[in-house]
Amino acid sequence: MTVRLRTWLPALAGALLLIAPLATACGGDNTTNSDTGGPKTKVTIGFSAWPGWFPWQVAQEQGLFTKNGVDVELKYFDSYTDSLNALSTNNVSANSQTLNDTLSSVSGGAKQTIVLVNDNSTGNDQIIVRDGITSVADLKGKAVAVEQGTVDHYLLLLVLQKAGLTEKDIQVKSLTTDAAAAAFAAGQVDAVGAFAPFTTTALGLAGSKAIATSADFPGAIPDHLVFTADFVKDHPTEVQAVVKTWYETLDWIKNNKDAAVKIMAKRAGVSVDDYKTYDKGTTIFTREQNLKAFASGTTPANLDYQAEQIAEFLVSTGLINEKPKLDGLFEPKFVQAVPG
Amino acid sequence: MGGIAPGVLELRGVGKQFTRRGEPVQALDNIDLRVERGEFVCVVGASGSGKSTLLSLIAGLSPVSTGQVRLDDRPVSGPGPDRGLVFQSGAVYPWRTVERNVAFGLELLPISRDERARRVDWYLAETGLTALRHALPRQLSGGQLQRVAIARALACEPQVLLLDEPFGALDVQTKEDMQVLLHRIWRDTARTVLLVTHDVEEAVFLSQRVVVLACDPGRIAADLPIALPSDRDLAVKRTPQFLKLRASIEDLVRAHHHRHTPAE
Amino acid sequence: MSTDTDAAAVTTGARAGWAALPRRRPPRRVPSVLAIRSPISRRARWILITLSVLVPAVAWVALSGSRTVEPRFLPSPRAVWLAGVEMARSGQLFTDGWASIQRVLWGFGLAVVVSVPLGILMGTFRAAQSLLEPVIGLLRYLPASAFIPLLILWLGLGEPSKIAILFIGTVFFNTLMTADVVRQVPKSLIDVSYTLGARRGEVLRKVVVPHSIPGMIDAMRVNAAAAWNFVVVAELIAANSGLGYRIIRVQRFAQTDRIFAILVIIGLIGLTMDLSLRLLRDWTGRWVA
Repeated sequence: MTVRLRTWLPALAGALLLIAPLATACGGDNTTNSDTGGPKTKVTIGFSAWPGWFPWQVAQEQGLFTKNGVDVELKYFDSYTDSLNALSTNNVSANSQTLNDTLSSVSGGAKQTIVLVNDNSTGNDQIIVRDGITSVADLKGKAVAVEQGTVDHYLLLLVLQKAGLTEKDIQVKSLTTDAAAAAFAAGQVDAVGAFAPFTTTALGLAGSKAIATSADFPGAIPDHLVFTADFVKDHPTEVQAVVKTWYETLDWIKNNKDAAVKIMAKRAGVSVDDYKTYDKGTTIFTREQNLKAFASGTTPANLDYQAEQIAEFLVSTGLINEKPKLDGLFEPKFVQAVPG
Repeated sequence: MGGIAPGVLELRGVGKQFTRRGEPVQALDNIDLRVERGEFVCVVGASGSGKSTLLSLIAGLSPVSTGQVRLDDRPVSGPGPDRGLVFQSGAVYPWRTVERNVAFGLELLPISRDERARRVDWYLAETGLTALRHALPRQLSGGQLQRVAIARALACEPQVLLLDEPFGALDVQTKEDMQVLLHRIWRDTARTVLLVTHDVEEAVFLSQRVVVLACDPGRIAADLPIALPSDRDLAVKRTPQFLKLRASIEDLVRAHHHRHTPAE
Repeated sequence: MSTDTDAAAVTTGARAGWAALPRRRPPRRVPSVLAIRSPISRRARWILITLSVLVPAVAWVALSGSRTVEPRFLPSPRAVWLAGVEMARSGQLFTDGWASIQRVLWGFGLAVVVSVPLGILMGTFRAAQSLLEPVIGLLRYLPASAFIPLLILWLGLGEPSKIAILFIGTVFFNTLMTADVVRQVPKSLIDVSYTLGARRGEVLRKVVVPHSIPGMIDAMRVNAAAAWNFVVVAELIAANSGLGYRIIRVQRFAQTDRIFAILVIIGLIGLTMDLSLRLLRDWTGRWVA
């Protein structure tokens, strides 16, 4: 039976037609959908469990975004790493992430812009050990659970370096932070790197304590609101509105302390009393502190200097492969424009 | 030939009751039957008369509701190689060659490999399967498969050989070849045989006695001796004596079948 | 019988008033390639097979070359090849591949060891079916990934918990599929075996099992593929190597060319497993009609 071209062409055309729409559907920036002056642009902001970011929940519940004329959809991520991936694949307009994790994303090719410092971690990132381990040197050969490649892995390496050890001297068990804290509390590992509120879970293990925290490394873990570079370029009005809302939220929290803590503790899934213990460990930055941080300089308080240091550290410890380009990473104009 | 002697099969007041859709159905009622040593008896009846159920009871695959099945004056319960059974579908093991199918029952017994091979060879030759001994069932025709089934059952030297419409699915020429073969095998092995069929011509050709089963409930309507020479070939089917026997039995079957059909 | 009387019979009696039945136009002749169940020529078959590989490949090259899709989301075949070569050269591909293969072999292997006897029991004995089917039917709906926190608690962070996920993900389905296969053994085969003198155990060993082997291997083929689907989930539990682990690691830096390369490798490994099982099935199932 001879095969006719007539029967093949439609089949071929059909196959190609099937593939074309699939290709255009995947990828592509789906957050920028209009020019300025058209219908209102939706801003998706991702965040995850961290005392410095829970204020966004307060902003949403108090309608502060709408008050500032911006349509914001807040996306909460159970997994911090998932939120990082969401921003680097342009599935959200902005995310809440640390400086070191932003540098990691940028080293992978993502184009991101930091517009705000929410806070510095001053003790709420911790290396918690079980009973029987008294110093960092004791960690040699032990199993440490930590979320691969992210902030507490970075803190762990800083802590080890200070004690003259490297990652090769310990056994790293990669788990998401909540699973890591649970595994530690169940006695499956000797130590865990975790951030609040998961530190509460980890410290539930009798006899456990934190032998090192971010308080030991001032300025090493700033937390930011990071947008995709394209979004900042295309929608500066919306970005400005979001930054303005942040400061209004901080004011509201100051004036309505109890109500705010209730909202934030609920989002964190901990009791109000537990939440109050996080106060010292997360230092929310005022506008002045923000301006100082964005200014150029050569001290750890200056973000550009800190970014250089962190980038080199990430490469030298193998957390990233190549040093990211730092130009255009920081954009201070939005904070500068907020009325003092 | 030597080996296990053929047996005497006796059914005393055998009855079988089913429940269909909650209603009790009497499939067989008060069957009294005796098959003598080495006798070839055919049971005929229209479909629904319980012929297959009867064989199933004798083979021991399902229990009697009333009465008893006796072999050599001992009651039987449960299946066994003393009552070999050949299904209409053959039920030949598809993953075994012809040779290994025939050997199946023998493999279970404590006999030497040589002994087993000797017996398998004989039965293959008897059923004309020697050339096909290494073939797989998927390569065989319907008639060849039935021959395998017969050889397999016979290899266990059953005291009674039971056949349930064994040639029902075959075409006429193959069917007649198989009838001649079965007749010859019976004469060579001297087994007691009970064959169930709806084909009256087949029953008259093969048997020394024909038992007619009525329907609903199944019971023995007639038990007729077949006064034909014991050495038969296909030509006997055309003799007037044969045709007369066949006609009268067909009438009997129809008479007892007619009562079963719904009134028109 | 004469046709005249036939014709007369048509127009008299109860059918006299009937109109002639409408006849539909006969359907257009369909080429044999598109007809239902009709065999196609060897040449047609090979052309279709080649097309099924070529069309996506060509589409891939065209789409990535024309930059219709951003390279970050659809790397070019060349980039994927280079990424794969680089991972192979550094040895990482082999350590990862071997780690994942081992986990799948252990996890799925254990599942087979448990499910085949259980399936045979369930398919042979109604009592076993009544006892086990409700439990297994329920357990099979539990997503394996939901077990992760429990497994970490019970088995720790090492290989056992990863193997356990693969086991949980496949054992229930394989048991039920095996039981289905075993249940298909014709009753006449079993009955005739009893009349040949076989005892219950012998019927199981010499009749039920040999008849079921090709079907059981087919079930294994399906579930081996499912096991590979679980590798990524299993390697979420504190893994240090493995193809699934590598995908998660590499995703952080949006190295999609590596992700694609790893997916291709997973596909090739899966295909090899499938082909081996298919060969085994054909070898043991030459007798299937």
